[in-house]
Amino acid sequence: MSKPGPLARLWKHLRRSRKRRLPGQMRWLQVLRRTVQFSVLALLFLIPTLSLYDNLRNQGDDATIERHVSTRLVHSVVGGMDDHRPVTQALRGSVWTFKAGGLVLSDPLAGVDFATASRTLWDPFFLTLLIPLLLTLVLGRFFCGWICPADLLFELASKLRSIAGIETNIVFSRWTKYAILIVGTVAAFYMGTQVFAEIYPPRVLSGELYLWITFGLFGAGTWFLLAIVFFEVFVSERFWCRYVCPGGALYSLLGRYRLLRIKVKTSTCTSCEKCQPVCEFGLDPMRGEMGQECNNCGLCIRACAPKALVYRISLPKKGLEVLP
Amino acid sequence: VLKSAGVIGGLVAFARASLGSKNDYIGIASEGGTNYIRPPGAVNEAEFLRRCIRCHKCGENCSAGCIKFVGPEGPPEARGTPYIVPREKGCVLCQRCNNGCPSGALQPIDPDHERLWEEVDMGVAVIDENICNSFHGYLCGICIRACPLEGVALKAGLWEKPIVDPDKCVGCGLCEQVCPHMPQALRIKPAKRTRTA
Repeated sequence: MSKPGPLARLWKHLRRSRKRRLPGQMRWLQVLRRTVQFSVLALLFLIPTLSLYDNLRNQGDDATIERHVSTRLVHSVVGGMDDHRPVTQALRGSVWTFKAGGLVLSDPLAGVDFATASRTLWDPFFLTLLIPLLLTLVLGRFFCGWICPADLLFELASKLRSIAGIETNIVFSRWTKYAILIVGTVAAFYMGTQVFAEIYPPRVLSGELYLWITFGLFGAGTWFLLAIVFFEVFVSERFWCRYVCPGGALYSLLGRYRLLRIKVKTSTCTSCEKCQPVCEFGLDPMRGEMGQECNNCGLCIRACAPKALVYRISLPKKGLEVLP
Repeated sequence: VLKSAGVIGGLVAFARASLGSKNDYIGIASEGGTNYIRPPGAVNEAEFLRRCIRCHKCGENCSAGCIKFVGPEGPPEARGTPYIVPREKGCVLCQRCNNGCPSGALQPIDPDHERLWEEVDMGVAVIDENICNSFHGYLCGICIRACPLEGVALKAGLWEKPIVDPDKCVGCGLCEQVCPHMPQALRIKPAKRTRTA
């Protein structure tokens, strides 16, 4: 019998995923995770649209508002208000730096870039990093699995891989991303300009969405993202997040002593190894070898039939991830 | 000896040439000037490149929609940073870009400032008298009417001839945007900014 073709595999995959809905622990967590991710993606579309609408209203350019579906939609919602500005000016920015009302949050990687490139150790900008830093210290690399819009794209790439049945998988060293973080930091220090903003996928993706919505054009970032997706589908699974991403490296370092951890109960574990292939970052939850790179996404918990994998809040100590 | 001297001399010349071509941009920047017209409130160019985190917030806040971003065509160290092309769209001095800047690359300016020319230095308008309509017998004066600091930065001389006061001109570029002559008889020369964070 010959191997089934890609279309047959796709059909099989779709049927299987419909049947697979039922089992799984803490499935609500995955529903919540996807909801958060898609909300962030929706915000990345919404914020440039709102700002474009606000600016077009300011210029009295009603013709352009009429021309675009998105701005017309915004107009149908806020057009009747006496003052649309509290709504259309409430949100600004992206996942790189975000503003809601008076609250400004920034990516810790932007903070590292800023501190080294500008060579300052104190600036009001660092205040905007506090909340993300605290969350990362407690939850670990949660940004990668819960907020990063590029993660959605790359998870789609790894799904495409499994559907197309591609076996090629070149494994690089996990330490590559830490080296890239260090090299980029040193380069920013000596060049006197910020380097990570142009290669960090969530910033690139939100920047491209902004350029597309505001100016109707795409920059070089789109080709960059497509190249990563292509590479991940055909050459190396989750190449960017596992081996390259300087942001992932930074959050891994910050989350090394995180409080929320996934632990394995050795007495309940049946060593079925079903948690290993589902881990997007290629970690080994069954043996408790998550180290610093776990993003607490909970996919392994969902895959664990005997309920041996659990979330635990504990202070960091030896034998971190193994429970009796 | 001659051969090695030639090789070393060639290397030095090559290094100087390659550095020189790169320094065309950075060299001017270190003097406080730039090839780009930056949004109002921008700190000096070297510090601007160090501070700008390329978040696009100034562009989102720009009520005139005049702020563009350096794409792959620009020098690598300036990619993703904001700039203004006055001929396409001038700045209306709403100061929302710099009040929304999180990293201090654009320093906040009060939009109701009485003496705006002391705060804003994007550039200076330079008139090409060889092609300006008012210098050739046509009473034009459109640029003067467009100037937000009319009578202060851009004054009407005899027969609507525009006169720029370089100390008062903020370089918003509204005059360059509306100039009816093609090509424009008025151009904004980017400022050598000296502001620090």
